[in-house]
Amino acid sequence: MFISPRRISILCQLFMVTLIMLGGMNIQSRHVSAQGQGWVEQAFGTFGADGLAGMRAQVWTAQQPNSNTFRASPVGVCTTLPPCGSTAGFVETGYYKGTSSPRQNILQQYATWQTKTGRFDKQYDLGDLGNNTWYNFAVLRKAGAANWIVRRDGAKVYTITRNPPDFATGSMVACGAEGGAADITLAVQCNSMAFYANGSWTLFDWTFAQTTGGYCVDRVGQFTALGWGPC
Amino acid sequence: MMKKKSMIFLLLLFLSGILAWALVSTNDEIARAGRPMPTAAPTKTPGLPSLIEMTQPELSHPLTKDESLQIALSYDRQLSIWEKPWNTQTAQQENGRVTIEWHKDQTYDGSTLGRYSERGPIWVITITGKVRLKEDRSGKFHNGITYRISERTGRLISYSAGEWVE
Repeated sequence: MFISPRRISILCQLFMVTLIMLGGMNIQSRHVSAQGQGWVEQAFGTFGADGLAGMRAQVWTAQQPNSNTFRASPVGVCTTLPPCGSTAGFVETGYYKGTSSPRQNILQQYATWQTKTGRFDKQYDLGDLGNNTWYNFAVLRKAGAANWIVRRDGAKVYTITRNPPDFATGSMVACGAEGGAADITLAVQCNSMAFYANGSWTLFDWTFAQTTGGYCVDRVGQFTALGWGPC
Repeated sequence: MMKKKSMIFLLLLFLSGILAWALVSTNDEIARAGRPMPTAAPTKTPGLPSLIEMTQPELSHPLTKDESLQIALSYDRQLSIWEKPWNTQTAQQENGRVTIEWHKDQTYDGSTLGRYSERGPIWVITITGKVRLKEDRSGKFHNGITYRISERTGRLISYSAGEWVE
C-alpha cells in the first residue's frame, strides 16, 4: 500500500517535465479564433520571420465544386508576425472560384493586397486555370524594385501599381485554404513552400497553423501544408 | 503486498497516460477523431500545365451606363455591407454618393495590364460611404468602394475599397 516519498517525488518530476514539453508543443500549434464577421474560414500553414519579400508554393487545384460563395488558395506575405492580424498589410495570389466571383464558377487566378492603413484591392482577371492541376503561385518584390509582382509558374502575370502596398517587406508568409461561408468543405495542398528574403528563395516547413473554427493544417510531407476542414 | 503496490503503480501510470493524451491532443485532433484527412494530392508531373483558354463570352451590345450600375449593385450585395445602403436610384437621390465613369482601359488610374487582362473599355462605379468588406476579417469600415466592369463582357475586373475609417 505504501508508495515511498522518493517514488512520489520522481513521479511528480516526470509529470512536470511532461507538462513543460506539452506546453512547448502547444505553442507550435496555436489556434486563432474567428475574426470579423465569421464569413471567411481559413486554414493556413504559416512561417514568420522579418524581412520577407515573397512567397511561393505549388498548389493543387483539385476539382472545386460550384455551389459556394467563394473558395480560394491564398499564397501570400503579411506585415505582421503570425497570425496575420486584423490591421496587417498583405499581398496574396492563388486560385479563386465561386458565385461571388465575376467569372461565375470559373476557376481563375486572383490577387489581393491591402495597405497597412486598410486600403483593399482585388484583381480578378489574371487568367483561367484547369482543374486537377498543380500551379506554382507566387508574390514577390525584389530588392530595389518599385512594385510587387504576381507570378504563375515562374511567369509574371501582373504588376501591382494601383494603390500599391505601402510596405517592401513583411514578417509572415502563408499558404492554405480560404472559403466564403462557415463550415464549407475545404482542402488546399501547398507543396514546396518557399519564402523570398535577401535575394533568394528558401524552402521551409511551416511552424504555425492559423486556423479558424473547425479547420486544420497538416504536414503531409516536407515543405508542405494541407489546409482542410471541417476536421 | 508487492502485488498491490504494483497494481497501484500501474494504475497511476495509466491515469498519467490518459492525462498526458488529453493534454497532448490539440483541439483539432480531438475534433477530427474518426474523420479522415482528405486524400493527399498526386505527385506533380514534370513540365508546365497546359494553358487554359479564356472563354469569356461577349455581350450582344457594349454594356451601358445603367447596366454597369446594375451589375455593380449585384456584386456589391455579395461583397460588402454598408452603414447606409444604396441602390440604383441613389445616384439621382443623393448627390455625389454614386459616380459612374467610362475609361478606354484599365490603365486610367495607373494600373498595369496583366498578361491575361481585359484590354477594352471599362465602366468605373464609385460609391462613397462607410462600408465593411466581407473578405476583410478586421470587420472595420472602409471609406467607399470602386468597381471596374468590362464594357465588353459585363464582368467585374477589380475593385478597391478605401482606407479604414472610424
